[in-house]
Amino acid sequence: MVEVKIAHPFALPRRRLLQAGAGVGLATLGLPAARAQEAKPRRGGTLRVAVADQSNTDTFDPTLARSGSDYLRAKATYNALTWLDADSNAIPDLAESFESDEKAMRWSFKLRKGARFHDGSPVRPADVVYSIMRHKTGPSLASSIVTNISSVTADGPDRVLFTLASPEVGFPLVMSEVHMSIVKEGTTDFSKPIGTGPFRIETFQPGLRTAGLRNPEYWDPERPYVDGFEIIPLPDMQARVNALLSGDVHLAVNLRGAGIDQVRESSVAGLLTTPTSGFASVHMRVDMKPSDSLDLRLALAHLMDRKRFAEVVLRGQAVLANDVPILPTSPLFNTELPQRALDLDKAKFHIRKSGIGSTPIEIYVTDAANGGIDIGQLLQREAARAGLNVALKRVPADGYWVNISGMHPFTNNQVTPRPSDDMNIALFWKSNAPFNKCKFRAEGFDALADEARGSTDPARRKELYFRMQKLIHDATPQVIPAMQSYVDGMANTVQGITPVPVGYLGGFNGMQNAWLSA
Amino acid sequence: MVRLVVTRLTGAVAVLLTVSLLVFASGEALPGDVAQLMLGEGASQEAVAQLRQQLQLDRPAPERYLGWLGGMVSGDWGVSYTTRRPISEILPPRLANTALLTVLTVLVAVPVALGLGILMALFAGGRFERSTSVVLLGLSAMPEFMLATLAVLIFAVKLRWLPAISNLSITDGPLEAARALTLPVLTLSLAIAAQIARMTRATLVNLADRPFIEMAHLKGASRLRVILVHSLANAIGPLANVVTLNIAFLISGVVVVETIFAVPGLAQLMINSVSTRDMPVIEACAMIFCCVYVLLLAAADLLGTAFNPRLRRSR
Repeated sequence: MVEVKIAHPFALPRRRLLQAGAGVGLATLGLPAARAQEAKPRRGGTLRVAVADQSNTDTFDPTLARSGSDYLRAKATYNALTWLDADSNAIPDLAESFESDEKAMRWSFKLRKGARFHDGSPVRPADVVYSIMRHKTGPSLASSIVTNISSVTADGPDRVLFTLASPEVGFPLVMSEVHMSIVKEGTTDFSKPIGTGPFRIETFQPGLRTAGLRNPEYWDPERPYVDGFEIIPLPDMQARVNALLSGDVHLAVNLRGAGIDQVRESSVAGLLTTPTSGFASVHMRVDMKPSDSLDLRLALAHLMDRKRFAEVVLRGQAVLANDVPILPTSPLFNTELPQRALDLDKAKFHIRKSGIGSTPIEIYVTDAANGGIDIGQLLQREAARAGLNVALKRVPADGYWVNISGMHPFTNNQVTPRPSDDMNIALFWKSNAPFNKCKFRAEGFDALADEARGSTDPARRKELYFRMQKLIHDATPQVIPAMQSYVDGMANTVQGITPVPVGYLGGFNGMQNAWLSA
Repeated sequence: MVRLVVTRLTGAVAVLLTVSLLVFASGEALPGDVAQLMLGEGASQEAVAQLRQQLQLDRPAPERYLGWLGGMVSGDWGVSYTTRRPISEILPPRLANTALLTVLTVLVAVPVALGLGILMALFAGGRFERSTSVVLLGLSAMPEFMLATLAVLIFAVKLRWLPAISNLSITDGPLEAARALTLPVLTLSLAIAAQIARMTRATLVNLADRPFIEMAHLKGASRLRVILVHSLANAIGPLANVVTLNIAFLISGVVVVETIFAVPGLAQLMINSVSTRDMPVIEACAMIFCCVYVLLLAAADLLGTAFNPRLRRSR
């Protein structure tokens, strides 16, 4: 491994994700001690991965990366300036070091010496500028992530300087995002991608197959350990499980329900569990009738059988949540708020107070959110016992996020994990956030968020985060029953992948660390 | 005969036109367009508008339809909205996979099914016929996804004889390809053979008390000869219909099998394209499916006519 040096002035918040208590500790990581301890990585072999999504829009263009398999492809081909360790700290990747001024307004990244693109050309600051500016100038799925960047410029032959609009301590975390992958200046055609990453792409057939070979010139002389990889889409979960158990693939991502049980009981494969701050929830528009009633929102929050959802639907691969978007094992999680649980008496009280009577409320549920339909059904069942009339409108996943989500008083929502809580707050919770679909607003919330993002003092950050969570908890714009883990199936022969809490297979980055034992 | 062919062809063109119009209209009716879906929920209105303009989606629907139709007639299938690749490049590999699966299934299933049907008719009422009937009824009632899953569980997961997936592009060499194709072909064959065998038996048995069959028996022809020569010739019309309908089903309706075994076929391409609202690809797939249906049905009719002297003379 390359010696990792973090050369920026503040200690970033360390998230001790893997020390989680209550059922989601190391025991469920699916990494038997013996397996985790095998010392010397072995070279060779082709790693085969079955992914869950299949689309003709599969892409290598980092600005358009949408699906998990796009992320996996991007991490195989490109590097971003930074990457994450298992505790969600930013560590150097294509930048060998980074630092900022005292206010966290200006950030300087020093490019890795000797890093080259697959065509042999060296990485220059202009490539970084081009890669980042593409999110500002062209169509990009990450345009909302770069809004805080006011300029990015070359600073000498091997440095890039970012100037921000407002202070951001966690900026290196933002730069670890898949969309921030570095491409060669001037690239517009991504069908034959050229990156700096661990693999060179040999075959790319959108929706069918992606295969790559080890990049022998990779700046890390150790990695990758495998000779090549192959990504095969298998949208049907049972097909993924079968392919894993029959030995046709080494890794099968996104397991649910019975698939988790099957792999857990298997003798040839085990589970790779990644606890994350991603979740499925019910959005409640605070500006629409009838969800504008705080009592009605609180009633639903107390009708949610969180435990049953986490244990039965998610097979225990989750951490109970408290309607706030922070992972309960994070030091920023507000432990002073009372944990909500199924409580029919409180629910009845709020139902009566809301004056909804027997008028049915409609919740739009969908498969597009993991467990979304189950959340609706659990709510409906308890609501009936408390005298609230809940009707479920089950809608297809197709087009859901553009056409249904947030367009009605009660709709399913799904949030995928992001590298920093600051990013989540800016994207989903501030009053001007692009995905604040509940139209949540609370006095002073935006100011707290801005200050927290620029605060270099951990104690102060914690205090600000506690206050933000209190505001969210009081207003309850979403019922968030549980923080969900990514659950992958991994053949016993696969070693070296450790969970990184932004995505499956080691934060989508596992292929360059994986090796196959004999 | 010539007039029949001409009428059929005119009809076919009319059907194709109608289908293309219906598919286009349903595509228009789907909520959300390709530009919006491509850029996601966070996209600005300007970006969506810009992409719409690039894809020429801002033109009125009739104009777009006619433009597409004109291109299609002159042999230009257009370019996929989402991948920007010409459709003439995207379709052939998918079509080849589907065709391979179909041809192999037909080669396996049709002879087996016809033979079985004939045997059942030959021994109608006997123990063999009754037990086979029950098995076939069970098989034709079982959905393919269940047959496929059972086959995978037994042959791939438990016995490990065959691969669980048939992603044809990863297999190398004919032996590997054969191994990869065994399970999907087996599943599809079971699904269609059961139907064809049952229909064959029913058709042949129905003919048994017709006067000309009685006549054949009276002339002293053997049971086997009566079935193979006298009955079968008269059953070809209905049988051709059943067989062709099943082949058409294989081309367009094997999504389940394509999904479970990850065979990159045409049906899967169409479903993917519907979810991304990629109209040119959807239309192209629909046209291919429709052509196959029309051609196969026409072939069935012509076969039926050719083997039926009464119909043949009346034209």
